[in-house]
Amino acid sequence: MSAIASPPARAISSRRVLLVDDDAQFRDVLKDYLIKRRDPSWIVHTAGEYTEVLECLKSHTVDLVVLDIQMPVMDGLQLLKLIKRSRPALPVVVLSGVVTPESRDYALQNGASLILSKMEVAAGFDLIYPALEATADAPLEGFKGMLRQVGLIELLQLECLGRKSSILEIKGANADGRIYISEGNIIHAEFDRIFGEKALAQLLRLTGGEFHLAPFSQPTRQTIEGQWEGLLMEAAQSSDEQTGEEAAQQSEADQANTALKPKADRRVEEIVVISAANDILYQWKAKEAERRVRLINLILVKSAEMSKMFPGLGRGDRFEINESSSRAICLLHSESKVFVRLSLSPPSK
Amino acid sequence: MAENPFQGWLEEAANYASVLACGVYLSPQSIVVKSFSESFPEAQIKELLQRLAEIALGLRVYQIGSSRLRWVFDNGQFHIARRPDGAIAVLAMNQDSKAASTIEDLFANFMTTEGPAPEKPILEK
Repeated sequence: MSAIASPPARAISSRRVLLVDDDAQFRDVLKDYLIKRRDPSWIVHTAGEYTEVLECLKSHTVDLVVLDIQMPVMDGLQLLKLIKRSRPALPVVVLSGVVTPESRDYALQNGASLILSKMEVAAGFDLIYPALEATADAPLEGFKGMLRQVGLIELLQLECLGRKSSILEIKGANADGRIYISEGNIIHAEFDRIFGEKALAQLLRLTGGEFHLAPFSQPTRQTIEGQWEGLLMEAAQSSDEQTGEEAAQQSEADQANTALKPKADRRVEEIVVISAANDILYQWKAKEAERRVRLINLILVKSAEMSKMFPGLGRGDRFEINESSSRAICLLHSESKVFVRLSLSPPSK
Repeated sequence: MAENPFQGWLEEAANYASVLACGVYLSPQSIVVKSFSESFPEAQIKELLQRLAEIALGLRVYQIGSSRLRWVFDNGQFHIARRPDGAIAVLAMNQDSKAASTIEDLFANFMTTEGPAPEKPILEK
């Protein structure tokens, strides 16, 4: 293990990172890149195998671990579990030459904050740097679950994109809830005494608590149908329009009335998900995905401008375009940006 | 100078506590705004409306309409409506605002307010 000297005047804003890779050359290149950065400056520790990692973590304070998967003796995924057992709050970015869906899922389920491919690194460290910095800086608030950096919506997206079957159990301050996912479809949600899409909306509105994924079992009934992308968008939108207290206090009669009201049919027409580095992670029926990437970036730039104009406004979270027969939504707040376009048909009588 | 036809709409918006600021864009030279919150100074709302007009135009490039937009931030949100004649209205609201019906009512009135008379075409002699 080698500890690399920090810049002489150690700034308070320094980030302390431990790079773990058995490839000394790769380690050194990334280390050189990081220690040349300023504002924030980086203090870089390196390790080539697990004993050095454990020794470093024992003797140094570290804000972030960057971990290779393919390593001798104990591979990165085993090491991830070991690190998380003793340091659950320490963010770990997994970096791998080959990211399979299985290794990605395994890493995320065992607490990795972020999975990066070395292919992305090959295109230049500048592409991954913002993600590393954001991960090192991310506050510890929010949901206490397996995925420190990931919110409920992102976790649901991961489960649905991976066509998983699982139960997302959520413990809020006043009530508990569950979201059932079967082969990538959200089929049921319950929260307090609310069920279906309303419960999903309330659960996604929670700003803190705990969650974990449990093995799937059939719910007693199916209360949700439809494509998950539209459901998540709708739930995110309706959560803005109704507080949890209101929903909890809503009478059974009101709920029955709402259920009887004809609702516009929505159909997802197009989805694009992009990474922080603008890579298209997922697209569905997107004829002009590159154009959508540019649109998302335009919205991001404009959001940043507005945040500057109105200092108390905070970050841009979501941008919605509503037409009489269609709706487009850009989710901006997470690591991956999502564009979804829905068509709305008038309710059938 | 003739009073902006949307001045009455701004006055109406002022009646709703959930509206923190509002404004209407007719052209770069004709923007009217009202602010009821220090967080949304009128000068910035004017600037915002200029940018929203550019964005509405920009969305055409992406073959996306812009008749109703909602921009949600951590601590606030902007609701935007655009009329066929190009007039744009913005409402700045709290993030927790539960004023869906207020917004609908105000935008319905905005859409039906009689706009400025179209300028007479300059006839070539």
